[in-house]
Amino acid sequence: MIVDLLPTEEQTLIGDSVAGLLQKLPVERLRDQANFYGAAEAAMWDGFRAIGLFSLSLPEDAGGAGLGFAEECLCARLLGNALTSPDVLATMLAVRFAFGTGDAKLAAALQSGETRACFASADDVERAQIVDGRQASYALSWRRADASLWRFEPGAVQHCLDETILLRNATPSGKRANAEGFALRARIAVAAYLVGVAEAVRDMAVAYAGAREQFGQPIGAFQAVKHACADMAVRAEAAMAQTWFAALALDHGGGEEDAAAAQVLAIQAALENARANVQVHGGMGFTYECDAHFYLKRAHVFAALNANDAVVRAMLLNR
Amino acid sequence: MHVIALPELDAFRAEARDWLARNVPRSPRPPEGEAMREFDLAWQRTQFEAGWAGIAWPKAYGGRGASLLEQLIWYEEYARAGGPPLGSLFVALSHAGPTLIIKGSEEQKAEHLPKILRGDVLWCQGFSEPGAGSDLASLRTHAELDGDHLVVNGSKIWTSYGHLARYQELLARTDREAPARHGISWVICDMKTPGVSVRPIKAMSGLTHFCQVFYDNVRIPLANVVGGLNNGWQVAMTTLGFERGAGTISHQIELARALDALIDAASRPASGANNRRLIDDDHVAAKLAQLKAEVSALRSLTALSISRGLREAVPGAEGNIVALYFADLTKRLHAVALDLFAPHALSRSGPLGDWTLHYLEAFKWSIGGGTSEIRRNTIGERVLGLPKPKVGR
Ligand SMILES: Cc1cc2nc3c(=O)[nH]c(=O)nc-3n(C[C@H](O)[C@H](O)[C@H](O)COP(=O)(O)OP(=O)(O)OC[C@H]3O[C@@H](n4cnc5c(N)ncnc54)[C@H](O)[C@@H]3O)c2cc1C
Repeated sequence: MIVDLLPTEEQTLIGDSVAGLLQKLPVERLRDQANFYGAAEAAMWDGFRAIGLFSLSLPEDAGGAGLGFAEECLCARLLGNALTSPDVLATMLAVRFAFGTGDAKLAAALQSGETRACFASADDVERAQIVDGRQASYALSWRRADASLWRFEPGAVQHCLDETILLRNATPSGKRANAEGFALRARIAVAAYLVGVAEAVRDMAVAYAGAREQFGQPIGAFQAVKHACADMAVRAEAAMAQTWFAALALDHGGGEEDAAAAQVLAIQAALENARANVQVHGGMGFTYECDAHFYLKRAHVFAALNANDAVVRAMLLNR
Repeated sequence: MHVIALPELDAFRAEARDWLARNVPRSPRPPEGEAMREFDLAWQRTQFEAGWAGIAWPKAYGGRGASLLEQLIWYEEYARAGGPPLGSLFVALSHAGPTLIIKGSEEQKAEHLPKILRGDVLWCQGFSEPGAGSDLASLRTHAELDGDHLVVNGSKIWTSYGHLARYQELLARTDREAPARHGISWVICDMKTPGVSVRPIKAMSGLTHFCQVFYDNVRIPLANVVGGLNNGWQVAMTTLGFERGAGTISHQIELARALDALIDAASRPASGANNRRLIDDDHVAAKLAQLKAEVSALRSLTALSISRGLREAVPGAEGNIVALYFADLTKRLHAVALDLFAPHALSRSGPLGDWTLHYLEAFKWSIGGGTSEIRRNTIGERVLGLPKPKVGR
């Protein structure tokens, strides 16, 4: 498969319109508890709907924009840049899930914002916890290559490592739909969000390293810091290139291997970059006031979604 | 970000696959020396005669005039067919040729490009010196103007295939007064010129691929200066860009094949011991899976480089990212291989001997063509825009 991994003009325009909307969600909003649990996102849900975020990849006769998964992934990366509530990405995926399984009614309800979806942390409903989803009634979870979308009733609230995320137990209630192969799409979309996190912290570290002075010069001039930033750039670019490749491959009969590779590398890039960003910020990085910790915690949330190392290994090794 | 599907690319692929299946040499490639050179040149000649040499080079100089994408397809099919490594022709095909195409005069192109494509000659790169490695601009090999000639004195080191090459891209100081980067010229040096002597150097793997070159009053016609007197730094930077460009496609594909072989080997029942396979150990499987993910990413990073190449003629500093990734991954992959096969890997004469050789050879990737540390500096400064240190390097 021969690919061009840089955005086309049209894709750049789509990205610009999403980025424009996301300006209303600066990461520092999370310093205010009122914005926890996706509250700011819930309030502007209609804005997401209006720019067509939930129906990007649906055919035009189904009310969509007729675009591909590639465009959805470019948007997912922007959602990651802004640490947008996982519900937005989960709903994007759920629309596509419902459409693909022939549930036009649910697809329309999700598209309109009347019904919302969220991620479940595991596919095994006994263990699954619900991630954010304050206004959601459907949860998306996945196994190796297949995924499920199921109705749930929320239960007890758990304390989450990422305190900006609402984490709850859940009991399935009613319908559970399955879609073969859909887990690959979910894995790649999650990877795209994590690419956005990895790039955001790279940029945050580089900006600080260029501004903060010690020993009479910007700390970014020192190789220990410069090389840490360079390694962040390498990890982010490898994860980005692999995720885009996997996204394109998916629409062309792509296999498990590329999706799993994207997932593994995006998780590593987001986590390692987020950690390195704390270090580059020194004492400031250790504080609650510095936004570095929000990225680190959110990276952990996405890394943990339906995590199963043995399955990912088997996908990579074709076993 | 899209899939490029063009019928003419499919046709090109089919044609390349067919030709390669019938023509890739089946005899083993000699590991070093003149026998290796003759093997590489003969194979180049075969490709040239069938119209496959210089896929992306202009037709006027004997190339195929094809696009970067066709070049990519060619390398993919080449690897699939088990074609030999670019080997000793690397400098000629990936540095000297492309540099001459961009910076050479019409006479220089007309004389040298066909010779390269036809498989007449090898080239070597005379940049590094005993006192000038990472700090290449501090090079001291001197070229004095004498009428219509330059007279060169000094020494170059780590010159790959210098003992086998007919021509050299030589960087020499032509103005000692000018600031370091403004007093250098890029000169075509015929290695048969009187006063050039060569001392081969054996590498840690036991192979002899590079050497030290000495220049004792070597007279080179001024007409051999490429890109103008004292412009050599700029010309050289073009060459380094190419080194990180399309040339890495073949290396990337070779590495993917090496990993597949490693996974195969780990998936076979271990001889004797209760038929257990190495890969059934979770620890081993985890290592191999991680390598698999990274080899996939290397393929994707290469695709990203090509995407950039479709938009800009000269590769930018981002090329350091894929080069750094490749170097680190190659070294780790071979270290894992040795680890897995220990203690059998100690025997270099056994079936695993090749892994040992490649393990030792892999160390070159984070040194040759710019060390990984220098690449990190470049990524920091030229890709990310971080400041240079105040104190000199
Ligand atoms: C297999 C092989 C083939 C080669 N082929 C050729 C060839 O064909 N033609 C040619 O001209 N050259 C060739 N080279 C030479 C190669 O380009 C140099 O070895 C390389 O540029 C490093 O220079 P050096 O060996 O002098 O090391 P040095 O520059 O002395 O570096 C020693 C160590 O110090 C580190 N270091 C140096 N400066 C800095 C800095 N500013 N910041 C951080 N770390 C630093 C380096 O990263 C390295 O780890 C080849 C080398 C190898 C290994």
